[in-house]
Amino acid sequence: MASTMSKTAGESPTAPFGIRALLIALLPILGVLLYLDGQDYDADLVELERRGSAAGLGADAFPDSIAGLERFGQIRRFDTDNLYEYINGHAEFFLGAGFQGLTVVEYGVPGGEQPVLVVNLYHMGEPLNAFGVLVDEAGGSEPVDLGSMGFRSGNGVTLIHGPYYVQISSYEDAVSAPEAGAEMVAALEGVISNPGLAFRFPDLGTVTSTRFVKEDYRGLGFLNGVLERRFERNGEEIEAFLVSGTADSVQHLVRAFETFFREDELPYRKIEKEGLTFYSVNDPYEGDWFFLPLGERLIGVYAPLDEGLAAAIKAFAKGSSG
Amino acid sequence: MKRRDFIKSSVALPAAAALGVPADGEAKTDKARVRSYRKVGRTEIQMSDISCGTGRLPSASLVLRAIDRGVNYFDTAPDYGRSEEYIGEALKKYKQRDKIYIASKFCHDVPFEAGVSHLQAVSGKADYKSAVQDSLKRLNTDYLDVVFVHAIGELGDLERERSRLLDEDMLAAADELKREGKIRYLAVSSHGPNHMEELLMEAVRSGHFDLIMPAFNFMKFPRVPQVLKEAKARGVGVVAMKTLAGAKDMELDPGGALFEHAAFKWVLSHPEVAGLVVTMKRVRDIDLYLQASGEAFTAADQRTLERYAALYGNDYCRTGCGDCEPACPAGVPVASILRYQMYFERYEEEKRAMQSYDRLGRNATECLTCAAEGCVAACPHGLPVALKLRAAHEALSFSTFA
Repeated sequence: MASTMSKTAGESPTAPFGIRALLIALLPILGVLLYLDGQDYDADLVELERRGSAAGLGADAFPDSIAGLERFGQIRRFDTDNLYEYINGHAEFFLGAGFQGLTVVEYGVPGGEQPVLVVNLYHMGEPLNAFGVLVDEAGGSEPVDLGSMGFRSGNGVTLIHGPYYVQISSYEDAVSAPEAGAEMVAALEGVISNPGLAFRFPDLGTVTSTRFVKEDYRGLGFLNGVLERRFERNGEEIEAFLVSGTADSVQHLVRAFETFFREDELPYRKIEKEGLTFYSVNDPYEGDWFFLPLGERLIGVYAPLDEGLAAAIKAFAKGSSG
Repeated sequence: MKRRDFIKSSVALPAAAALGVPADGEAKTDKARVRSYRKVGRTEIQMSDISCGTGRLPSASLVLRAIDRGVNYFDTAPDYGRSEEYIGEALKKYKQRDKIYIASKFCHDVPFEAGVSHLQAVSGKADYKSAVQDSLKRLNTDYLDVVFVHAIGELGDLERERSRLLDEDMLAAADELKREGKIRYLAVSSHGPNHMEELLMEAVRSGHFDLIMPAFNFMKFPRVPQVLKEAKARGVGVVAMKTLAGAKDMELDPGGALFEHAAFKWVLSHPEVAGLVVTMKRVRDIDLYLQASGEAFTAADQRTLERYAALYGNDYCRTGCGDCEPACPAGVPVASILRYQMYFERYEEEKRAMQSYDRLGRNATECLTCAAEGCVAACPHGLPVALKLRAAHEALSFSTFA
């Protein structure tokens, strides 16, 4: 009985001896083929996913030399899975701000043994995200005219250009971080176009202030990465905000607003003006205000929708698409 | 849908959001709202038991929402970002100034820096008065209900902090401000990290202060109850802060009480405590927090807190403790550093935390190579202090030019 059970449970078809011998004979050949293939190792094939998230994120922008220095050592790349290896303890901050990839390149004097300049190039997904990180990390330092916006602190510079947040640190007084920053911006020009577009606002009046709000704009948990601008218009101050992302994410945001309005019973309606669809909100806490999705942007204005504002936004929409 | 989200959405039922609801507790909507108001010591303040801390206030509209739900006490400070301006904006719309209470601080309008941003004993009477005047301007009001000597015990020097607490210039300024109708009550707050209970007890016994605001939560604060009893006996009001004990993980018990509710109810179960202030930075915070208003502390709440304590008791650096600091040969300000880390990690105030850390005269750099670990042995709560300090240093000292 025991023998029968054992045979039933463990029994498997047995191949004829000839086939088994052939398979065994093929093993060394397979081994040789695998070895030869290994000699043609292509990191791109093996690390396709990781490189996929970092490649195309500015890694190709690095010049071979910068500020009279030569590239030193290997280019290091980090993505969302391993950023903490480079900035353990601070990775969450970048991840929460839209981080896509980081490329680290060091430069040194020709023939030198140590690098004297380090460039950290963060791709933050969206120019607005890069702006937010810059304001949080370096805002308040000495402004420098680099890229879309830049700051100098000690012997380093921090700047943004397009979706890139760039940190350049010099460890030699003779090596100018701003000079390296200017060269890096020039190099980035080759991989991005129209880097300042995301910061454009409709012309709603005289700008009085601009700030970035990383999350929970006006207490709304779904409204993050917001650029807010205050304008003086007809003697009154109004606030407007702008969020940029993909067209899908903007539509998602519109749905989040609609859900919120329903839950809080805030009356709103869609108004067609100037060929655009505005969401006009009658809000007892914010006052009357409106917003509208414009492709990859969502713009909100804390003021009642009037002809002048609609026309200004129409002009902006036309300029953005043109 | 998580239970927490369900609860949040269920309280956000359709309701008539009518701005200008008087703070009289009268329910006009189905949303969670304040159900209990308590007298603050000998003052005439009847505060909402769960009140609004505005350290991360996002807008004037949030103030108006909170008022609409019955919150009538707002704790602000000049160094809480735009908090005072937002409250001032809200007051332009909500014109019933006498229906709400505003508490601010003797403080400069600069990012927090221990021993600097909060007015010190050397400030002089004029500075104290001008600090209040500046707050009034930002707040768009002509009086503060309460002004605090803020964060007493932030420095390790007991004598210096004692001087600040009972600074004659400050007391004279407060008297004048009261006579001029610019403040109603004088108060003192403390989240330590040094001598919290000792300084607060001194404040209570001095007779100069109308209320105190200690860090107070269900984690172990062995000497706070004595202070509370003394305050009660002398008619000094008590408003609690830091009531969530670091607020680590909120999803503690899917079948039990929500952590925030349990923590609030525990604090409010102390008869000496008039109310608590908790940071409200999202609309949904109001929905969630106010559900605990007027509710009794239950066995289910106790179980939730016990679970929290079991999970995080060895991780939470008790505000106001500082017992480990004398054991540090390098004089590292342990409690301050771990508090900044809490701001960084839990409050997501990275920049503020890093700035504050940067301003410390002595930081946890010393800990990177220290093998003494006397701090670990000295911690009465068994925290791995040295490890935590190294981690804090790593998080807080991130330099763009590292």
